This record gives sequence, structure tokens and C-alpha cells, in this order.
Amino acid sequence: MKLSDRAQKINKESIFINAHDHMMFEYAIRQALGEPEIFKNRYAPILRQGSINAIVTSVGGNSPCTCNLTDYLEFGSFEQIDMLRLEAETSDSFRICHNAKDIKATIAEGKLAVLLAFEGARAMEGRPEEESLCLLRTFHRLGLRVNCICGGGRTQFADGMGENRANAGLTTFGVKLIEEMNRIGMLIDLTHMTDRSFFDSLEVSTKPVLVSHIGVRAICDTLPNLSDERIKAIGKNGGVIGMEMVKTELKKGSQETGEVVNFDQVIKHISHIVDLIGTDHVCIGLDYDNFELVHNIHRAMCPTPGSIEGFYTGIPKGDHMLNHPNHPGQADTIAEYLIQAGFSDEDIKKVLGGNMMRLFKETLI
Amino acid sequence: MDCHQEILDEYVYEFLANEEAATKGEKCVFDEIYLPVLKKQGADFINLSVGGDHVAQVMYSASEFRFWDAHKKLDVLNSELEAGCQSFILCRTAQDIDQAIKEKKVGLLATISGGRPLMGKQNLNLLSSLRSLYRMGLRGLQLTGNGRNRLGDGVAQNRSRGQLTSFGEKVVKEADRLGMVIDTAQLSDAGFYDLISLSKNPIIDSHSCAKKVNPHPRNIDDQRIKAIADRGGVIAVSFWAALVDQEKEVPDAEDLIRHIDHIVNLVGIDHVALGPDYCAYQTPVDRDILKGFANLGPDYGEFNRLTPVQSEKYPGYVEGIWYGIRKSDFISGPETQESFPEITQSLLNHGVSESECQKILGDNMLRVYREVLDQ
Repeated sequence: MKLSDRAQKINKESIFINAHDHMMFEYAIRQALGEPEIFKNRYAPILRQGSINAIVTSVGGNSPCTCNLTDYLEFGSFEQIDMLRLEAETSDSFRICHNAKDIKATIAEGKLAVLLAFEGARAMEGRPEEESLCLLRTFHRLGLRVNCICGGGRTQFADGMGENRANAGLTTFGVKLIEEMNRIGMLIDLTHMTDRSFFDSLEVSTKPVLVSHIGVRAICDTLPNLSDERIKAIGKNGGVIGMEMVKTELKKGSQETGEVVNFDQVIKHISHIVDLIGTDHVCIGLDYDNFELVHNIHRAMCPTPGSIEGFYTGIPKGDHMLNHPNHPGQADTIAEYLIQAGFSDEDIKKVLGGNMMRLFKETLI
Repeated sequence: MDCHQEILDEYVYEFLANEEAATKGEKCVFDEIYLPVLKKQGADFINLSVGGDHVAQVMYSASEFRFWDAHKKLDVLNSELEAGCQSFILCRTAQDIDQAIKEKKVGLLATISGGRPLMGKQNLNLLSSLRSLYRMGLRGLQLTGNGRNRLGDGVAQNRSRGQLTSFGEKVVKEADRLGMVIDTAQLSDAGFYDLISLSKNPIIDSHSCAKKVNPHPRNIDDQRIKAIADRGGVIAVSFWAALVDQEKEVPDAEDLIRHIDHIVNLVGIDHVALGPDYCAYQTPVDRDILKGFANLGPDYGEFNRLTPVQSEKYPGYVEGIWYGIRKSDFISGPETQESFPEITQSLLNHGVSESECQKILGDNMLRVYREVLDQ
């Protein structure tokens, strides 16, 4: 796709933030293979090509595949943070950022901004009977700034969509976690949460929240996607919703049929949210995981094909990402898609990163 | 019958200290450590917990790796039996129960007080853990402690309003299929009613008292008592002072009998039993060697023995529930395990007939065990 001058100008003037990235799936394996400066050599060129300035990348989560392939989730998360920090210390290509100011300064230096996130908070549960927040604060000190509390299943804090059966809200520990995240400055990500835990979290949190990678049910009726009720609640909370590029959550059944789906389908999701709550609450959270060394790693490591801890994600035929853009390196075309759908320059900049920057300003210290 | 007892720590400890001799049959540690204790207690049958959710339940020999820990304790019992110990039977079937009674041996029904030992790998909910413990002789299953696990939520987590999880449902159905006695003690209300709808067997509550008599969060309300009785199950009353009467520094046997009376008035004589939940024993082992390990000692009580609420980390609490710090954690009279004769006497003094006494002391719970194990 050839970009118009207008799209190129928007990309140049925007801070483009990918609110949910999974490069560590592959980074950690390359690290084990002894590759040097993996971010600089492998990912920075792709991000530059896609006109992306900042990523929120997952360095831990609820399953071994997100934690350097170990069952000891804490250790795996510490390892992954350490790898990235080691490279960042001497890198002229990126910096690990802790707040909006850091992001701006890093981009002004011509570097890429990386924020650290979890997808599932099991690594900070600690001893089950203690309800201690020491691991939350420890990870915060190491730079963790976005915490998606649930993956598919149950944590000590709240339940993920795969655990709808229990129909449970936040635990007492979950309430403490959110209060402490509000206090120390960590962004709450409500992707994957069950209804009750989701609305409980919005009640408890005094700060706006993120739903980093998702679609909407009105367009694609899947379990993880957002109901209108949830979208309105996010609007009320002042939060932001990230649109992902995984086919299953965008067009139902498209992974199984292999049907061609491009960003026009995402525009439908975005327009639905905009109709409900306006343009201040949408961003891009690609959730790309189709790397050269690892395709679908979380699915490959699951004993139930097509399902992650109780929620079905489909068994893809071939590539399960959008056909176009198919890769973060093609993310620069998102501006063009938005132009063609009739969005104004100002609104496109909000979607690409302006809304996320506002959220960072309001939540991170 | 003592319907809820954590396995004696000194017993596990002594077995491990004499492992070689014990596994060869040169020494029966059960006879040396456990028999004298049970003789004083007057108990012939025990619902014996070999692990569970809270590490403080079994202070000295416990591990945070609870699956491994439960296997370790079942191995102690199995090894002693394989080495020829004749004084007890680890009951796996209803016939084993009959045999224990007939041969006047101690009958043990192994259980866990909380499902954390079953949780296995974090992102996989597999039933292999349940079946492997079952094969080692586990026949009871309490789903939660006070807190949350991946089966459901305990009473301290009523806030979540959560029912059982999908894994909890699988575990309950498999436990039903295998023939295990499901125990609802410490389970949240939402989890409890969910369980009632899932399980087809009689269920028990092994150590709770009546909320109507003493409104402690660990106690169960009349609706729950009725639901257990409707299912043909049994409620075993706890001897913990906080559960019996939280207003009194030292409640006594009469206070306990108020709970028994309440349950009998509500659902009849066939659904009540005794679940002391003792963790304070006088045993033949000198415990001085154990003192100082997570132990605040006599400052918190007259026993030189630690109970969970005397834990130095969270004095007075067990995973979110306040029990208080008392002179003794148990009702007076039977402060230690030497209790059952006194309870029997109190019941008789109270006007309970001999046949009713027998039901309370053991027959009610044996009925449930036989029914569930025999299916």
C-alpha cells in the first residue's frame, strides 16, 4: 500500500504507541542462542519501518510461554526484564521508559521508547496466604508500568474470561493490588477479565484504565471482546481501548476459514467505539506474535488445541494475523486506512498514540 | 470419631528421624507417638488431614509445595503399614472401616484441608494430582481453606462472590466418581451452594459451628446447615474457642453443646458430630527441639506448642480470618486432646441419651463415610 503525503505527515508528527507487544516471545529465545543487541538488530528496524515510536511490551504473564518458558513465573519475568535492561544500558537504539516524560525525551533523542508490561499477574502473587504486595513494588522498581491483571484463567486477584464459570469479582487481595497500583503509578490493564472482576476493578480504581488488545462484540461476538456496557464503562472511567490485529477477535471464524481480513475490519470496531464514547478512548495494541522463530507459542504450549486456559482462540490455518497490515512493519499504513475511513488528522493522531500519552500522563508518576 | 485433625507434626517428624528403621519394620512410630495420644483422647477413628491450603496448619514438617507435602505424609502412613504396623488402618473402602472397628484398630480417613495440593502447574488444570493422591489413600477432600485457590474461594473471600471454578467443578465431579468425602468447611457461601448443585453425594462440614449461636465468619448459617442435612451429610462442630464463643476468653463444653443443640433442633440428631481441629497436643516427644521455629512460645498461650493463630507472621489470623490471640485456642476442659471422655460426660449430663451420644460421637459420620466410599 502506497502512503499518501497526508498519511506520511501524520505518521511523522504522531507519537505512535503500540499498547501491546510480544517481542519477548522471540527475544528470549534469541538471547539463549547468544545473539547480541537483539532489540537493535531485530525489532528496531521493524518498528521504524512501521512508524512506531513506542511499545508496551510484555515481560511476564500467567504462563511459561510469557515467562521465558519456565514454570517459575517470577524468575522468568526477572530474567526477561534483566535481558532488556542489559541491552538498554548501552543501547543507542532504545530506552526503557517509566512515564510520559521519559517517552517524550526518548523520542526526542531519536530513540525508541519501551515500556514494560505483564499479561497476567501470577508472577506477583507471592505466597498464597500472605497477600503481600512486595512483588508488585519490586517489579515496579524494575520498571514495570502496565499490568494486565488476568490472562485466561484465575489469579489470586481476579478471574480471566476462561474462568467465567466461577462468576467471581475481585478478591480482597485484588482490591489491595489495584489500590497500590493507583498509588505507585502503574497502569491497570483489564484485558481478559470476567465481567464481574472488570466492573469491580473500575469501581475500585481511582485512575483511568487500559484495555490493551481487544475487539468489540457488536462487530465480532467472541468471549474476550468488549460488550457495549463495558465500552461505555471505559468511556466513563476515562480509559483507553487498544485494537488488536489477531483475526479471531476481529472477524468471527476467519482464522479457521483463512478468509482475507484487513484493517478495514478493524475500522468497524474503532467506529463502533467512537460512536459509543468518542475518539478519546481508542488506541492500537497489535498483540503480534507471529515471529520467525515462534508462531503461536502460547497455543503450541497449551494441551487443549486452540484454547488458552479455558477460552477458545481458534486453530488458525496458517497466519492468524490480519492479512494487511500483516506485521508491525506495515503499521504505518494504519494512518492511511483511517484517512480513507474519513477520520480527521487530529483524531488519527489520538488513535495512534495521543490517547495513550494522555493515559500515561494521568496514571504514571 | 475425631472428624478433623491435622496429622501430628511430631509423628511426621519422628518418622523422618527414624525413617530407615521404620520402613524396615524395626520400629513402629505410630505406636510410639500416635497411639498414646489417641488413647488419651479416646478416639478410635480420625478424619486425618495430611495437608491443605495453609502452611501453618502443620508447622514444623510442612512444605509450601503442598502437592509434594501431602504425598510425603501419605507416604509416612503407607510406609508404616507396609512395614507391618498393626495398630491402624488407612481406610480406602467401607470394608476397611468395618475391619478397623471389628479388629479394634485405629481407623484413619486421610483428607486434605484445602485444594491447593491439587493445583499442579499454574496454567494447566489437570486431574492427575487428585487421582495420584487418591491412589495413595486420600479419601477426603476439603475444597478450600479461608482464602482463594484455583478450585474456589474460602470464607475470607466472600467479597468475590465467586462460585467454584471450572477446575473446581472438574475436581468435584472426579471426586464423586472416585468416591471421596467432600468437605465444605471454610468454603465461601457462593462456592458452597455451587458445590451442592454439582455433587451427588452426601457432604460434610468437618469443623465449623453454628453462626446463629456465635456469629463468627467461619461459622455456617442455618440455611447451610439445612442444606448439608438435606443431602444426608453431617456437620462436625469445632472445639476452637473463637468458633464456639468469640465473646468469652475461655468457652467451655457447655458452650459447645449449645451449638450441638442448635443443629439438632434444626435438622435432627443424625447430622451432627465432633470435629475438634486440635493442633495442641501433649505427646511423648520432647518438643524443646522444635521450639523457636516460627514459634512465639508460651507468651501466646500456656502450651509450649504453636497453633496457626499463634504464628509469628500473622498473630491471631489464619489467611484473612481473625481468631484472636487467647490463652488457649480451644474450649476449656478439653484444652488438649484428652477431651472426648469429658465431652461424652457433658452430653450425658445435658440429657442426651446413650444412643444419641453414639450418633454424635461417631455413627453419624461413619454413615456418610460408608455411603460415599462404598458407591
